Amino acid sequence: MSDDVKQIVLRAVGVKRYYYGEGDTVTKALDGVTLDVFRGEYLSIMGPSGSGKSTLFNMIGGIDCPTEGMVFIDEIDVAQLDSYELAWMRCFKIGYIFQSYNILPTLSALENITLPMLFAGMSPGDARDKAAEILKLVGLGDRLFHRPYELSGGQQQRVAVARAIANDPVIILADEPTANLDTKTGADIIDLLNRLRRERNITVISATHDMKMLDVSDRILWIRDGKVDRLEERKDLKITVGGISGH
Amino acid sequence: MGAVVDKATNVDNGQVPEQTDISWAIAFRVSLAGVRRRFGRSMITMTGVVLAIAFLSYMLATESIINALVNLNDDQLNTRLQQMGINIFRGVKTEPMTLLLLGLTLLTCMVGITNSMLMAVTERVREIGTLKCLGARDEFILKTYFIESSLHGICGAVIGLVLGLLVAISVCAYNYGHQTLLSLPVLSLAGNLTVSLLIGAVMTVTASLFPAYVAARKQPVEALRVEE
Repeated sequence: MSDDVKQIVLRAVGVKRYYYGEGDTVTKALDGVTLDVFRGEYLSIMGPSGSGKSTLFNMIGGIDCPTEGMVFIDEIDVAQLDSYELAWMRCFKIGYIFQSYNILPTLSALENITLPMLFAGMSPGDARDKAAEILKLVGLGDRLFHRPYELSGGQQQRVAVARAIANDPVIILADEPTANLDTKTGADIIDLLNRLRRERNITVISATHDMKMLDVSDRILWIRDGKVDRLEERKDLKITVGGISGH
Repeated sequence: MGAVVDKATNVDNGQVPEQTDISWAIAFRVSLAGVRRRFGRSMITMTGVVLAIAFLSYMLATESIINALVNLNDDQLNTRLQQMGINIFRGVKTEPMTLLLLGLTLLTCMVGITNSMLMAVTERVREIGTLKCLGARDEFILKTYFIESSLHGICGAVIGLVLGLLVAISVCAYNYGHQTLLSLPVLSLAGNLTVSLLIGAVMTVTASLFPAYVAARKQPVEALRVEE
């Protein structure tokens, strides 16, 4: 894959998002962000809270529309999609992983993973088989029928990862996936994401504060005041991480 | 990788696959799982329906039973009926005041259901957002709430009408003796039960329309919100 010309899966062009408050107050959550993300890449988005990180994240995820500018996901212009097509895109193109797992509490692990496949129109039987297979892949082969409250945080996040890859998405969006986990479990989740990315050539975009996560990233995007502060390659960053962790 | 390319060409042709064929079945499973998991909550919502329908069914059943007794035209029974203040020549007919009371009861119960369903929506904002992130459409969310409220409505109405009927029969049997049980107007009681069931189901679903609409309009962004 690395020999090929890099294929762009996500392109943001001059994305702006303004929130209009009372009177003439305008909050510029995003103020012109331009970004290309390549297939199979691991991109981390960093920035202090209130920097527009989450807003950018929502734009990329097709769950919010920019005030100005364009977002292309797999060459589809998000702004031109109606709500049906947006739902379709969220179903097929993007896998979401949340900070607080968001496993549906009323369903078992298996059912949680089956659901997006059923939305995609797969037959229940096929969906179950595939879900069981994916759960084995993330190391939960013996937890198929457990309910979320019977699983640990790390296991729940694994279910979430499994659910995210259920429909073979192009992009996995992970919003602080390790923030609620201890260091060891967090590292396991990162390894899992990284492995899936390599094996399946999925692009992983993740918002994070976790230094371990930065270590596996191909590039890191720093956001500040709604603008791209800087975009670093991993090789430049190695030094920084080494400095921080004292190696 | 090939599959991904196929999907990409799909949307360019404007061929968004249909979700409607199967999603009723999925919606039913999701709703049922929800009701089962949150059984306590469902019971509280249902209690409103049970009480209102029990009242309705009690009124209707009492009327049918007493009219059947009046039709028997038995001397002893007629004396007893007159002692209870019933006109044995005209039978009983529900008075406007009683009807008003019934209407108010049903209305109060509806407001209660709407209220508790709205709370359920607020509680489940993140779940709804997550479902939408997984690719659920507005209609799917609507369907799950429709099914959930129908389940509440039908179960609540069935329990309520059985309760109302039992109370009506017991009270009449106590007042007028064993004749009541021997001459139960089965047909007209069955009619009453059907009416109660229908009113209960329609009432619950109507009361849930607004909460379901609110739920369907929730945005997927809600899934990302963190409140601990």
